[in-house]
Amino acid sequence: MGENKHIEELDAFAKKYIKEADQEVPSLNFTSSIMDVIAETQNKKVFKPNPLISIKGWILLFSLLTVCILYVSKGKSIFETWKLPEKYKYTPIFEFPDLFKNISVSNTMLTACFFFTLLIFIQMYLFKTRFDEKLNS
Amino acid sequence: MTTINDQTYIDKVLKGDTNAFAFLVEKYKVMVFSLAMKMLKSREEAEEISQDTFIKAYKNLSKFKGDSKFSTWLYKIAYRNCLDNLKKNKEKYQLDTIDEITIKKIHSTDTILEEISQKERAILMKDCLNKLPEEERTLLWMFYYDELSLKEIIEITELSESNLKVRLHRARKRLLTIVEKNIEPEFISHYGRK
Repeated sequence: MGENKHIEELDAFAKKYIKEADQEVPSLNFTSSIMDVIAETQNKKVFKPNPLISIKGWILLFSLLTVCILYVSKGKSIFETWKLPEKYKYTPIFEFPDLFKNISVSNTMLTACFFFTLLIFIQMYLFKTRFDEKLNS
Repeated sequence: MTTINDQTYIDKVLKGDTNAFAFLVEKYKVMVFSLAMKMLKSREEAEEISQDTFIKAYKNLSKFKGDSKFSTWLYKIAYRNCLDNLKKNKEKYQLDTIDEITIKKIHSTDTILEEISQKERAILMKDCLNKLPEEERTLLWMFYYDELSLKEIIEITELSESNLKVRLHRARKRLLTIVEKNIEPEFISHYGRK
């Protein structure tokens, strides 16, 4: 009973005097500063660069490139070794023409092409990283 | 639960009217800033944290579902921001011991405070509140100044009801002890002049 009484008195005391404490007011340009930051965020959102080639696109390109290199360097022989089991064999409706039949490329040329392509991809990656950094800064 | 007025502006912001957010900032800036001041005690830090609170609220506005008042939701962001800031700049408090509280003591302190002018009392209360540990000060501010309900404070602070009640009671007791200690010289000088 006595304990409750003094809790009530203490509560009334706090209620009476805390309400009298001065309220703090922020600076005059508080709202405009926030709105400026928000406007800046909005502008950044408007320009959201999308990559020209997606990850799937890159995978597809690399796969095609690898197949081309292998086909040109090893000739048809490498593909002929991949034989399907008897049950999956079918008669093709359309025979693909052997486009590279009469083309012969030296190994030096192939190595040069390979490294040149690799260099282009590295440069693409480096340029992309650099422009991304510039745009996000 | 959010007032219709707030919800109208929230909807406008979500539809792309950025300027509508200025209304919400204007409405709640004093509330958020006062809480930050009570928790951090530094004007510069309080201003920075309050601005950050509004920017976070703007970015996460789509996550506000209106289950609670917009002010409670905003208060929660501000409270979390202040806590993070306090963790970064951990301050060690020299806690005032809590003296034994009697009804007589409450009445005598009340009588003395009544003698002081309202303006002086406001300054004295601000000083006394600043001497409380930041958590107790914040809880008292939420409960008595902003008149938040226990339910709302529980939602903001994530304390259990019993824990909150205990902390509030301890805060009230410590405040009375601090006020009593601070008004003694005031009282003596006041009567000394008479």
